[in-house]
Amino acid sequence: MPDCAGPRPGGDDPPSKSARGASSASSFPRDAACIVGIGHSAYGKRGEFRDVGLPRLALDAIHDACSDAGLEARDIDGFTGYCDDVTAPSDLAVSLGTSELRYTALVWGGRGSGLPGAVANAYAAVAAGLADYVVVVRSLIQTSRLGQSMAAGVGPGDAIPLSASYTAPFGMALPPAIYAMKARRHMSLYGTTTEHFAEVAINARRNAVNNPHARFRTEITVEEHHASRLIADPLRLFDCCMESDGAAAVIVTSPDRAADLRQQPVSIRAVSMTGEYKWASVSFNTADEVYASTGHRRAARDLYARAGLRPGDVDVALFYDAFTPSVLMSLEDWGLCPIGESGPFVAEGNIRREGSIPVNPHGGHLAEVYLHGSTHLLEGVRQLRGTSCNQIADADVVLYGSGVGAAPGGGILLCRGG
Amino acid sequence: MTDRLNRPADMPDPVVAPINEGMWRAAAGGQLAVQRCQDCGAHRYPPGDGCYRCSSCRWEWSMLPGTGVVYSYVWIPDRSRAAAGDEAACYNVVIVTLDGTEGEPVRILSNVVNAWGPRDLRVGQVVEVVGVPFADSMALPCFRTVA
Repeated sequence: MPDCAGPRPGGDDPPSKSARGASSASSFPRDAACIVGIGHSAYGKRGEFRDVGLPRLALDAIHDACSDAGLEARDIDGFTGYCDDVTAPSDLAVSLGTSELRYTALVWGGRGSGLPGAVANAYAAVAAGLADYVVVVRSLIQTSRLGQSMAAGVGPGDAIPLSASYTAPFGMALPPAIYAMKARRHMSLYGTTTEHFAEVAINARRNAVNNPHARFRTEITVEEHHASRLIADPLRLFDCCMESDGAAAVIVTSPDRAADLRQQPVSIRAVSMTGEYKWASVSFNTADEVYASTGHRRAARDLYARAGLRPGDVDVALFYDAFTPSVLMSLEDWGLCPIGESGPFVAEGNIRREGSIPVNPHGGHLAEVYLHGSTHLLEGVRQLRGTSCNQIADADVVLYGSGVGAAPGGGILLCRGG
Repeated sequence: MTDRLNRPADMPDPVVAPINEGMWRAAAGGQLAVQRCQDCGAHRYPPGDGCYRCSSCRWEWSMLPGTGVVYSYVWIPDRSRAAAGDEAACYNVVIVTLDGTEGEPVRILSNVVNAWGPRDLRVGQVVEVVGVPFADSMALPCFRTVA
């Protein structure tokens, strides 16, 4: 793939892949933890598992991950979560028979940004010796519309939170409108088109054809994209993922402990959860130069510097894709193409699984399932184990980039272990 | 027809609190007020307790010229209205960069109430504030295009 001119840490290129470890751009302890197990519950449509309950879905995912790792459920001694998850580890631990509960942490803030923070917490806990086997878990049942809860959380005539007073009364009521607003700005600045958005959706659907767990396994065309229902112009229905129910979990431990487990470990080379200046929770008063972005250019700078890698080293990119513009902006934020050029970049086929930088080979939120990025992490592990439904040959480095959400979001770089 | 306002139906009223009451009252008088730091003079929006530039928590209301430039916008179908041709009738949500502010650019999220369709809005368009009442002596600061 091209050696890209994306955002650079402090104006200096981080060391190349070949120099990794030899010249650290920071004192970050690389590869101090790894992923040894992945799991998920059944995936369903919005509200389908309302009667099952969040804890049970979480437990299903954790048991699946423990089985994958070759661990007993009771061995889990740490829990991390994000997106204001209400599934309390104190309760999960009882149902798992956890003998020693040593660590829990939750990342504040909603929407698509918190997964790297949850992984960072697990990483830090393991690296610091605060816990041995930490599960990062996300459990989701969409009984109320996330859109409503974000804009106002209420029906007509009800009082809204004070913080929604500057958006909800003006009809800024849906998550797609946030992306649509950024997309419009991106179109105005760079000439991005709805064909470019369509390509992101087409790629996701095409990849999901081979994914037995995906909810949407039929391909779509540009014409079908353009004919789909208007949601928040410039975005249409096929620019949006479908809300889902389900849970996913990964187990994080130290490289030493990983050596005794069933799977070849996937190393967490580095993680960052750096927020953008004045980003808040998706403010319309961010700095001008990062408004039309996912808010991760500083997170990218920190992540690559900590990892001793650069964008050209990434073999597979997993980007939070609740809405298609997220992928375009992520390509720019994470330095995989120059800022403003993501539209033509995807039009050239670069993000397809045969392209220079395959994006979301599992189908992502747009086609597999929408569980706030957690299932992207599972796919990252599969790619590095060589077990993906759309395996990218010789994948050694996988990037996860968060979506638009409360600051800080962040990113994760996974590397083939061993 | 000229008095009709393109506003979303059934949206909640804002919560009136000391940190925002001044802007609703200013809008009722057809004016635009935002917070200004009493120590460094930087304007800010949306309302918040501290100054992004100097961290001071001392602030006052400041009347701005009330004009601005469209930064970005979206059109959202309003299912409560009859469709207009092939597509549903839409309201707009607009981000406006405000004129006359000190410090980093200040943007507000609002509606352009005299814009009804794609040809009525573009990035860079000049708009001016217009109050849309929601309670006694209080209004939302909305905007209209300037000829």
